[in-house]
Amino acid sequence: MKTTIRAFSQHWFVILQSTMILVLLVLLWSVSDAPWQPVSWLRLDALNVFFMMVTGVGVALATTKQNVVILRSYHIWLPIVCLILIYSTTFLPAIVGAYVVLALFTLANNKPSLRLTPLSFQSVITLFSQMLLRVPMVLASVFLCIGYGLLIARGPLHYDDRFAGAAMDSLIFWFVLLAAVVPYSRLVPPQSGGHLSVLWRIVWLYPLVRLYNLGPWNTGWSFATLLLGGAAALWLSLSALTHSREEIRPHHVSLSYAALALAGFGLSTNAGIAAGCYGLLTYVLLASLQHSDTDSHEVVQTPLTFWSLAPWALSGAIPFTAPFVAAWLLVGATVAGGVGIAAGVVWLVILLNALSMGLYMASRPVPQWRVPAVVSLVMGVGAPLVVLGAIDPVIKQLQAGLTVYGDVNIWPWIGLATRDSGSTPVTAFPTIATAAFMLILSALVYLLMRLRESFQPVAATPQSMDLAETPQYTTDGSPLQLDAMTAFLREEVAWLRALLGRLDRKSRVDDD
Amino acid sequence: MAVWIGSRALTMTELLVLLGRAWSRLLVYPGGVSAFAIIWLITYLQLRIGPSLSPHAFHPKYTSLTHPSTGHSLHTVVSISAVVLPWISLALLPLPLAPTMERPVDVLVLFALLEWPFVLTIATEVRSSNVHVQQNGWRRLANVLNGYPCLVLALLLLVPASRSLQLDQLTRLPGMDAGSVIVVAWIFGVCSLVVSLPPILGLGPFATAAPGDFGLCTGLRLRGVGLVVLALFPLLGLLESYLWVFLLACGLATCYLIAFIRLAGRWEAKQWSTGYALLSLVQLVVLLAVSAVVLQDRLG
Repeated sequence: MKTTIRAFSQHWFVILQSTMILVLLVLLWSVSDAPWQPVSWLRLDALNVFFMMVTGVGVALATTKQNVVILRSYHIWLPIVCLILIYSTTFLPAIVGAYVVLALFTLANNKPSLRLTPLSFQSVITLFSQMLLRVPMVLASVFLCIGYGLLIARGPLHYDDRFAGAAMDSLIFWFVLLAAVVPYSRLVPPQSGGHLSVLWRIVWLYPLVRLYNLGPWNTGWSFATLLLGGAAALWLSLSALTHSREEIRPHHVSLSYAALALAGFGLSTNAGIAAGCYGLLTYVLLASLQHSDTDSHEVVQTPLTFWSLAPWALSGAIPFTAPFVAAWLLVGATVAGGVGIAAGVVWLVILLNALSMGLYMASRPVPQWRVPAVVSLVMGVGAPLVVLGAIDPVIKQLQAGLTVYGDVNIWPWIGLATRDSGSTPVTAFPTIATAAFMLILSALVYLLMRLRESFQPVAATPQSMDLAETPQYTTDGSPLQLDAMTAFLREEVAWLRALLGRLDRKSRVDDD
Repeated sequence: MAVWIGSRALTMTELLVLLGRAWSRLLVYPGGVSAFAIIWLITYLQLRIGPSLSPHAFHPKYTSLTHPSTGHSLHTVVSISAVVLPWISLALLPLPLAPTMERPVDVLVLFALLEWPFVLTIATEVRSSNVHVQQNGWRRLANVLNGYPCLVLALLLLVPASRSLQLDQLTRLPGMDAGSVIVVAWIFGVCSLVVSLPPILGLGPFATAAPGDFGLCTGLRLRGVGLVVLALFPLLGLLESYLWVFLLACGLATCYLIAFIRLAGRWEAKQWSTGYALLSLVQLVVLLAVSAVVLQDRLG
């Protein structure tokens, strides 16, 4: 009994987090067939419960036993109250009001920096630049006010009003789309808006996806959303690759998955919605790294082990991981939707993201991202169960607003596939089956390697492997060879040179 | 074992059946014995006739001095995964005479599985304290960045004809009803797929030193075999009706690779990279044109 209590006291936080997500999952399943709407202004359906669940997953991943104290701050609870209001009500003015409060809260959140520094010209300039960086969130709320305001002005006060679909037009759509895109701009810094602020950004996609409830989108709207999402993802992944500050790389990489999610939502197909929802889950997984990353600075010289490979599970370079599956789903959805060129953009984005994460790991001690890496693997291998359990109810709920140009086939215990409107299979990934093959072959290869070692006449002296080495640092703490490598790549890769420009003279000298 | 979600029972039977039927794919053909026989043959030919082709033909020298072989547990995991993932990708290829697989894979998954030893090698080399090994890693990274856009665009050029990225569908030739733009895009895609191979395989001026670690080295060789097979994959559709065209195309592709190894060294990798960037640009223009035609058909 004592052992059980001790075990519980050690893992109570994980149990609490898991219970919270399980409760949300059960809620999602209970509203999957019919929404729960006791009064006209309160409604819980698959879409808003899915957004709640994604936010819950993000909060659970970002808060650990060590930093649980941040949950006591009003910086967390005020946005959470706004989020609950946004997700649970059908009353459009209340939704708009909550978004405005959220944006103003973001804007006002940097006041302490003014109090800490004496008032001078420089501090005013700094404050002004900080305020400007928050403008995109306010701008997004203004766009949303205009978009939803126009909708309200034409009659419907609730999004589930019978005539809400008739009030929709392109002008409203553009403003809601702009409100969804702006928060994913690279201009918004990683920590704007206080703790866990990166997680709150998913809420800006909600008003756009909710428009599917009003009726089907026309081709122009879908194309614009896909274009903006794809362009933003490419811009963010290029920024991640070229940014001078290393700690910004994971931030931009995670934002690029949110932009990919936006592109997926724009496809107006079952496969697109699946890709969008999975992209959101990947975004919160990667966004949570920015909180666990702060811990990694304290473990600069720890001996590296099997877990040194953990960050690779978040890079998109391994097929059984969440970032890869997110991109894979979107490629399938775009090809099924007849937009093959967008598949090329997604492919390029994932390549650049993997490269950025690789450079991030090469430039600093390997971060200890154990839990996110395990979650990424579980989400990747168990993708069919994730899609079936958490995303399928959303697809069913939005069905009336979707087109037939792309669907997802779920093979439980095997994997996933996408198909086009003619039922032609487009992509297929037997995730669970391939993982099972991998386990079998790993055992075989291990055996063969041990046999080979036993037949080798002279064994080499064991040394530490290169992968496990900590990169060398100069006296000022900057990575020794990273600048030279970037300069080398700019020189040797023509398209990088064309996009980013030639290397400067200093880098050339360093390289020599 | 069955799990109930809603009213649907999810059974593991299909998974067990799939695993049971795949043993010959994993151990005999296309993966397993046949794949290892091919890489043994390539290694043998490399040692015998490689130096006469070019001093930088394939992977000329092992950098065993700079890549210490170890008994470290991390090393074991890395080595095993470097062999296993490309092995699985070869085993999943829907090649002729291979047992049919009910659940196929697509080209994206195959690439990701094939590229794992390459990613690991770059990660190992870039983090090394030895400058020469580091620069070898940079060169490898530059090669893949030079070749990949071309390869990806080549595959996307095949999609309008096959309407799929699934491997068994990629072998489908453009139908009689396909427009001339789609046929031209398919031919251009097949040609540029082969053309994009040298930087990705590290041939000619793109040559890099092979890692000394046995697992990584074997994994890279399996990757090479997989990529060559994949480049010739769309031509498999010719096997039934146009066998001689298939053989001719395979012969031409082999001649191109040998010619590249022998002759391409006259220009530096940097100059070739400009050429590959221009090829990618042309591919992009063709892809945009064919996408516009497909979209017009869909909307019309």
